[in-house]
Amino acid sequence: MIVLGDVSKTYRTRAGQVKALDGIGLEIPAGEFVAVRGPSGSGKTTLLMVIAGMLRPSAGTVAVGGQDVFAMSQQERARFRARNIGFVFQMFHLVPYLNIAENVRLAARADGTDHSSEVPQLLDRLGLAGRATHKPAELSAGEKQRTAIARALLNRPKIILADEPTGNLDPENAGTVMKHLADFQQAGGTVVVATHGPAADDFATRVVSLRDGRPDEMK
Amino acid sequence: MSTVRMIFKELWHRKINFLLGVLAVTVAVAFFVAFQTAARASNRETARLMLSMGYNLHVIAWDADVGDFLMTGVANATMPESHLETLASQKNISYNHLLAVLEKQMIWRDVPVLVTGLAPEVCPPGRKKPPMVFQIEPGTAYIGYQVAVRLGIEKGNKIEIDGTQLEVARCLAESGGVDDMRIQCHLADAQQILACPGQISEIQAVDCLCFVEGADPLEMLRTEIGAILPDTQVLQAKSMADARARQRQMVFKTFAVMVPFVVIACGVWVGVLAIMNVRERQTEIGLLRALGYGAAKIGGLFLGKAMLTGLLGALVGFGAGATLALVFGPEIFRLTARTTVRPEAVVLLQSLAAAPLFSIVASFVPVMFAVSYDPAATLREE
Ligand SMILES: Nc1ncnc2c1ncn2[C@@H]1O[C@H](COP(=O)(O)OP(=O)(O)OP(=O)(O)O)[C@@H](O)[C@H]1O
Ligand SMILES: [Mg+2]
Repeated sequence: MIVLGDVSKTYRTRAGQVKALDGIGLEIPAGEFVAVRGPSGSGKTTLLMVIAGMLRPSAGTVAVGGQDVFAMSQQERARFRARNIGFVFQMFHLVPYLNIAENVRLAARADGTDHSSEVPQLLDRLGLAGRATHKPAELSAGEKQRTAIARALLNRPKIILADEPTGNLDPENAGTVMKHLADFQQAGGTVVVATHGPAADDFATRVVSLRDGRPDEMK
Repeated sequence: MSTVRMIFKELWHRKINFLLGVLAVTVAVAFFVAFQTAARASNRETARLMLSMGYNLHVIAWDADVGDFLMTGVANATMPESHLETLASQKNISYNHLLAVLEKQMIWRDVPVLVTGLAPEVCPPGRKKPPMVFQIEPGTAYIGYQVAVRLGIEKGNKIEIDGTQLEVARCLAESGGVDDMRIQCHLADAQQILACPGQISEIQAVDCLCFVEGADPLEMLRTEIGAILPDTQVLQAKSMADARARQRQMVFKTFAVMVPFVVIACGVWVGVLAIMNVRERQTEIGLLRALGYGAAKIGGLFLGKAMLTGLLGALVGFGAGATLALVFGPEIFRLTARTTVRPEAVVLLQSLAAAPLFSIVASFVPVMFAVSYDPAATLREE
């Protein structure tokens, strides 16, 4: 369960302050598939980063699985994140010099509990079986994103945060990616997906719309 | 995945960045190695030449005529033998191999000879070196080639010079110089023959000033010895060897100034490459952080790479530098054929130790930036 208590985030820049999140209160029970929607600049990425404990809010509290994320030390937070949260990014962020299997395995070591023996099955499940030894540059965008999902899944996290995971994909690949995220949710995981458009709506158990850093409406 | 494996995979992936780094270290190391290798050979040559020059320092009595000494090589006045001890007991001095000599021309059995009495060589405290000349036992004499031939003297003969009995220990081979006209004996015997008890005509020494910066060595020696023995005069025989040593020293200095510049330039080069590498890998760093990797792992990836760059640069640079020294060293340092330039193991070890450190130091600041990148900022979608 993710609980945001009156979270605000203000970026200070030379040009002035930007209020990216403006007093958001939000509860996401375990096992939900939440789509966070909103126009560009509405604060979706900021919200995910705050939930992940990678960005400290200017005000408010963030609790994940009952633990106050920002009460932890930086190291504890990194370990907590590695154990509980998987990430999927719009730009995939695969390490270019490692092959697909190695990229997935990269998530294993940080955690300490090593699930790297499961990499082959995971790749198989995501339709990447024949690609294990390929470099990211040799993959299509859809394959890259599926690799990123495999990496996010490896540690068997409780939560997957996905920021525009289909932003660079054609509709067919986008559907596949969403399907995998939905599978994770079906198996008991919690998913939070940030999107511009309706890509996630078919799978979402709930839609949160953001506008100017505030929840707009909910489904 | 182990840090080392990741480093190697990254190296392979970004070969150009790595090779440029290695090139930078190679240039710095090659310069250093070429200089060190040639300079060491040059030092060996100087040491050899200085020694072959023999005693180039002459201390004679104050009232001896310098002009006469220069023309004949023999001082025409004497000084007390105790001067030798006085000189030898000094600390921190710029000469060595002290030799007391009493010398005078005389006619013996109708032949002009040079009677030369030599005391055993002494060295100042703590600077003991093997003597440069043979030691002559009291009661014995070494006969110069011309004297022996003209007078038919042979080894084992007993001779008498002005009432002093001497046994001929050796007849010397022809030298083609003044030695051929000498009768060399122990100082005490010469003092008896020449009726100069407790007197010497000259102290010979070797100066150790080959590598003194700036100052005029003769001036230094005169000040130094003048303070100890005010009633003497100091003469220094300059020679080709001396001039060449000086020439080499000039080259040496030029290089000594250039090497730090080249090294600094290469350091900047390595640093710039590290900055480029870190910038290119910002999102990778952010991702590793997001996956829970700590600063130690991320810093290790970059510093490990820097270390490898340094090691490889040291090896290649040593090869290049030693080759340069072998090819151009003799020319630049004006070495004679008798001094060989050879790769020095010490210099290789120095390079292997210093280059990785150098590369790490040059990359350090960008790497510190890398590990402190905010993952949220680097992973933000553009
Ligand atoms: N590092 C930053 N410094 C200053 N302002 C920032 C920073 N990051 C984001 N912002 C601002 O905060 C607001 C929210 O940004 P955010 O990236 O969360 O929006 P988003 O909903 O993810 O947008 P998009 O759909 O384009 O990805 C924007 O107005 C943005 O300009
Ligand atoms: Mg965004």
